[in-house]
Amino acid sequence: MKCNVLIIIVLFIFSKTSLAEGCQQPKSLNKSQLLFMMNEMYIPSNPNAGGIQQVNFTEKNLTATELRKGITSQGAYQYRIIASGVALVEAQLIEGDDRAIFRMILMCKNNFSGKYIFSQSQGVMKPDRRQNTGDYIIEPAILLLN
Amino acid sequence: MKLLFSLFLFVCIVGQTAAESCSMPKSFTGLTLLIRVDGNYSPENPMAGTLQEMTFNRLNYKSTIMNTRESVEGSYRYTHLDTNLGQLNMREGVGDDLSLYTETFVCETNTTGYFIFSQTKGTIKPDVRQNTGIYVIRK
Repeated sequence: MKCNVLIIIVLFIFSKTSLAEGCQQPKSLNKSQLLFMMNEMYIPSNPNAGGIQQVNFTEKNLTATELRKGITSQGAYQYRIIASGVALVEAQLIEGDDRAIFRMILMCKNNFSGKYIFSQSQGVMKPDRRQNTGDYIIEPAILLLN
Repeated sequence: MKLLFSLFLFVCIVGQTAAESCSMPKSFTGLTLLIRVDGNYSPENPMAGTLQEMTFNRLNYKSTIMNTRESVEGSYRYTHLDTNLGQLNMREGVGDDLSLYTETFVCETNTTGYFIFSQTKGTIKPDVRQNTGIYVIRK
């Protein structure tokens, strides 16, 4: 009898633990500023190796600035959460006379940082089709005064 | 002789251009820096891959690890050693938690470059350790 009670208590404790939620992605990136730390390994698919991309999001557009080189590009984006802790950013940017089309999967580690996979299908930096990874950080909210 | 002279002139001009291509700030008061620590983990580089934001007022600084949002504060002294070379002398914590280290910066442009972190005493062991990374002056 004592043994049964003990087992039930242990099961209760463990079930509570397993119900603990993992990290969550924000519902929207509007008014957010993110930093993307690009993987440091230089390979043709990762020409910006070691760089830091600062991306500012409004409701429908984003502005991306590479902090070391100072190159900026902007355009439209779409954001949605596709699974628990996983978000997708799809963007169509204008880079000078060219267009860049890419997607980024963001997988959270905690509520404001994690890893990302960048997949370009068209862009200024060749090859057109290329992928690379890195860490992303969502900066603490900046109060925007209207 | 002519060749030697033109080579010398070439090196002089190139050398001159390289040295004048960027300058380190004269003071760190009011600056915000992003520090990206080299990604290779080793006992000397336990903070590998982290991104830190450092803000400076006249005497003190605050350093936030952006990946975890933990922060520490301390006092600093900045020395502008040469046009493109500067060094921060940092003092963080007290007693057993005291950390003493320097960050030596060499600029690549007026807003970015590389740094060497060199600790002589610290909470994160070993006491004497070094690592490198990239810095960006945000504002």
